[in-house]
Amino acid sequence: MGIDSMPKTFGFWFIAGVCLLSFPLLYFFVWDPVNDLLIAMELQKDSIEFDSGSFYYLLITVFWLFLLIEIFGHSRIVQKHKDKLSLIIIGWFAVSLIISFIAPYTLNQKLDRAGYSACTDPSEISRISPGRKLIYKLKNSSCK
Amino acid sequence: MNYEQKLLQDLRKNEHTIQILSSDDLLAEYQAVKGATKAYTVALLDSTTAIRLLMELGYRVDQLEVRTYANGKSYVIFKGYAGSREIFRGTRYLTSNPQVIRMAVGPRGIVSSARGGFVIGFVLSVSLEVFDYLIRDDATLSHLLGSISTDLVKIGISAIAGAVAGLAVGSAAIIGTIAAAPLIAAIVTGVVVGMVLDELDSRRGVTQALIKGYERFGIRLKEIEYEVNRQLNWLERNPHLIPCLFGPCSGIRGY
Repeated sequence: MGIDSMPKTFGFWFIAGVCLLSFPLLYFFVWDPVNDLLIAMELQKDSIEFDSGSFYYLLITVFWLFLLIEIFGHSRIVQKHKDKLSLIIIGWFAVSLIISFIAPYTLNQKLDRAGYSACTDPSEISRISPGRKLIYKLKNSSCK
Repeated sequence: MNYEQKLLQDLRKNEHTIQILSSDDLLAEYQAVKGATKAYTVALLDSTTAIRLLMELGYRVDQLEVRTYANGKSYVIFKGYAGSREIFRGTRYLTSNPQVIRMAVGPRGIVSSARGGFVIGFVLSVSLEVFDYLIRDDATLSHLLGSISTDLVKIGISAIAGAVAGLAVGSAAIIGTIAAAPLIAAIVTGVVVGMVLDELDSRRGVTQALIKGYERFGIRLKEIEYEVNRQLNWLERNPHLIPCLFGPCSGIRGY
C-alpha cells in the first residue's frame, strides 16, 4: 500500500483519534493554564508563568468539524449545504486562528491592569511555534 | 526676513529626527521578529496555497477524488465544470503531475508540501539563529549549535506529523474530497505538534542540555588539542625519539 492508495477507513480513524487526543491536549495546555493564571492573578501571586502561544492549540478543533462531516456527511442536512462545507471549514479555521491571536493580548491587558508585567522565561531557548513563554511579575519586582 | 528668522528657517529645513534605540531594545525586537518569522512563515505559505486552491476549485465538497487504476497509476480526478478553473483545466491528472504537486493536491502534493515546508523552516531557522549569533555579544557557538540541532528535530517531526495528517485526511471518504482540507489538517497538525515539542523542550530542558553537551565537547576538544600540541612540542625537543612512534624503542615503555 503506497501513499497513493490509503484505505478510506484510515482517514476516518485518524481524524477520530486526533479528536480524542484533542480533549486532554486542550485541557492540559489551554484550560488548565488559563484557569491557573486567573486564580494566581486573583491571589496576587508574585510570579505567574504563562505561554502566550497556548491558545494555538485551539486550532485542533478543526478536526472536530472534520469528524462531524465524516459522520454526518451523507445525512440530508449536510448534503443540502454541501456547497458551503469548504467555507465552513475555512471559517472555523480562521476563527480559531483569530481567537488564538487575540486571546493572549486580552489576557495580557487583564494582567497589566492587575499590576503585572511580562518577563521572558529563561527556560525557553529556542522555539518554532507561535507565542512566547512568559513569566508575569508584579510591577514592583524586577525581571531578573 | 531678518537674519535670525532666516537662520531659524534654514535650521528647520535641515531638521532630522533620529531615534536612538539601545542595543538591548534592538535585540529584544529582533528576538520577537525572529520568533514570529520562525512560527508563521511555513504556516502562512501553506495557507496561501489553501486559499489558491479554494479560489480554483470553489467551496463545495466532491471537488476531487484520488483513484488508482488497474495499471497501478494514481490519478487526481477533478469534478465540476473544468472551464471555470484556471490552473486545472483538465479533469484527470497523474498524482505526480508537477502542477498537482505544486498546488499540494493529492498524496504526493501533500508530501512534497511538507518537504518544502521542512526545508524552508530549517533554512529560515538556521539563518535567523546564525544572524542572532553574529549580533549578540553573549552568543556562543555551543548555543548556536544547540538551538539549530533542536530546531532541526522539531521542524522535522512537525513536518512529518503534518504530512501524515494531510495524507490521512486526504484519504477520508468525504473530507478527502475537499481539496483544501488535507492542507488545513497538515498546517494545524504541524503547528500543534511543534507546540507540544516546544513545551517538552522547555520542560525537560533538551536544548539547554544539548548546549551544555556541546560546551563540554568543546572543552574536551581543547584538551585534546592541548595534549597533542604538548606531545608534538616534546617530540620537537627530542627528535631522536621520533622513530619510537613507529616501533619499540629501548628505554621507552608504554607501547
